Amino acid sequence: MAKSPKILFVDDDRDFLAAQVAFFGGRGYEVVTLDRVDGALERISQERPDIIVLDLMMEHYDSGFLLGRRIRQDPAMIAVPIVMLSGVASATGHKFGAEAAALKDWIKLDAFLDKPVTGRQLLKVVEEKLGEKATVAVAG
Amino acid sequence: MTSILVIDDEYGVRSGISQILELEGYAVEVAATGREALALLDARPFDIALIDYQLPDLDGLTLLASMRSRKLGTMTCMITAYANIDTAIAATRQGIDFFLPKPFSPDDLLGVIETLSRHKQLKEEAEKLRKENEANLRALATEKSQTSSLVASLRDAVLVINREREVVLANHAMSALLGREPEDLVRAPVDEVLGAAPLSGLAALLSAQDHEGGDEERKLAELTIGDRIFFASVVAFHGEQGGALGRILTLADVTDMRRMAMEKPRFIRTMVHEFRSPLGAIRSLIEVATEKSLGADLAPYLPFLERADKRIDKMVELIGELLSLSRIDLERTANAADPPADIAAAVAATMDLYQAKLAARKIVASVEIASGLPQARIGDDDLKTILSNLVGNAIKYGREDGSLRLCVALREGKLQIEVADSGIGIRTENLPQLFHEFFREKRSETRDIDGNGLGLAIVKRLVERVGGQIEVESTLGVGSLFRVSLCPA
Repeated sequence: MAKSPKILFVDDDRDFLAAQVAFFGGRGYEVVTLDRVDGALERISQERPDIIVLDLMMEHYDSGFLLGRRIRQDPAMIAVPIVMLSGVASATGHKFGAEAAALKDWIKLDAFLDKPVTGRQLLKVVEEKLGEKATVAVAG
Repeated sequence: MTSILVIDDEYGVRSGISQILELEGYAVEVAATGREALALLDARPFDIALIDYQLPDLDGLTLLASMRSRKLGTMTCMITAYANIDTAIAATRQGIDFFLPKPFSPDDLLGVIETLSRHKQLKEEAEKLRKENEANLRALATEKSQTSSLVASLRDAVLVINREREVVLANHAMSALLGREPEDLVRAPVDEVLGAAPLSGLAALLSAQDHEGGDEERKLAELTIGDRIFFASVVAFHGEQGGALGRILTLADVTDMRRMAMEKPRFIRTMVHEFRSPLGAIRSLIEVATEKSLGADLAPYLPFLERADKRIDKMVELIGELLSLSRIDLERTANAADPPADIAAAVAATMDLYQAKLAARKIVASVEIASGLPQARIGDDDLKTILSNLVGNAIKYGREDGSLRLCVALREGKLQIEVADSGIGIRTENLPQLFHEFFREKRSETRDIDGNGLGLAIVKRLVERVGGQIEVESTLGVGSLFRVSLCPA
């Protein structure tokens, strides 16, 4: 049996994180959660997750964006899929519909989901991204 | 029918006169003495009184003086056999209308009576006209003063110009806006008054030609003066022959309306977020159970369901606070029927309520209430909401083993309530937003502190709607002090 994939969540809602630990843990994932941006970059490079789920707005409206971009600047992390959650899309006035493409390009983002998201929706995207990654890895 | 009183002590004379007059259709009464005459005059009005100069009790002049002081409006004619110039002058001074020397013929008498009734009629008509005129003038004066007070007190700035483009009227709001005295503005050319930007556009608006027969035309524009937004409207007013006599410029300050219109979507977006985040967490927590992520046993799911339950409690609390905010906004002014609050009692009740929380955080509270304080002009419930928010915050944002100080005193005629904590403090740059709805400081120290950012917004509204003030002083890492000033009842 293959090694269980490691999924890393960065979100400031601890209840959401606890639910993800149970939900993804119950499905054979190794789940790591970070509840703040501070020190997240270091933890991420230590943990070397297979996929990252990042909440857009934590302490500041742009914390998620900046963290996403900085993860991408680490050569070791360049291929790790990043799924961005945007529970605050409408709150901050960001128009993801129109700008999603540019934004995805800026962070090299892999997927964008609106909160509140169900575990099933998230799982579907995560499996998809991990599958693509595996394909790329095999092809590479 | 003309009514006549005949006053003569000689029976023959008075009955002769009354017979002549009654034959002509006059209503006649007779009196033999001055006192009898006055009694009759007091009882009912007479149009004409014929008075004998020589009466047994009073002389004719004294009777005339009494009648005059009674302001009866009766026309008077003196009948005398001893007419001389002194008597005439004296009688005239007492307001006599006519002299009839004895002896006189019936025709003489009727002629005099006819003259007097015509005079009486004219006098009455003149009086009626005078009264009507006076009433009209009064009404006119009232209307004029009402109109000018109305214009003067308008919140909108009003400027009226004539055909020569001179200012003929500027109300207080306009003179304040232009920074000139109203008297200084009258007769000033409007192009000079509105010469400089951003007002110069208005001069153009005022000089634009009306269309043919464009009586109803109204020109509108919007302009910004300083940090205020104004809505300008120009209407022409016309004389009876048509053609504009002048124009009226009105400037309405719409800044607050605009601000509110802009605030509303922001408020709704934030509110949606405040509901969406906990909903997302609740959904994920419940999904752990519905997806049976932790196996078939129920027990492992209970902590998740409890967490969800707590989040639901928070949402219910949020809904409650949103409702109080909107209720306060709807009421605008506090309920006048609310009994004035006894601050000392409200403070005691609030501190009681927070005893357990203070003990849990080992915060030492001290309360100082000056003696003999007047009651506060605020409803008791509102005061308790204010105190409970401030004390609750002082505990939440205070440090464990710290202190909380609550002081109430009368300073400069205001009741001042101060709540000070020795807590984490507030960043200076965040102080201006502190009372905004949903504002919460995002710092590592605050992330584990429960709150929805509505408490202080509610406090501020409650304080301000009774004419009070709220201030805050804070030093980061040292503590915060909230000061509420209320008017005594």
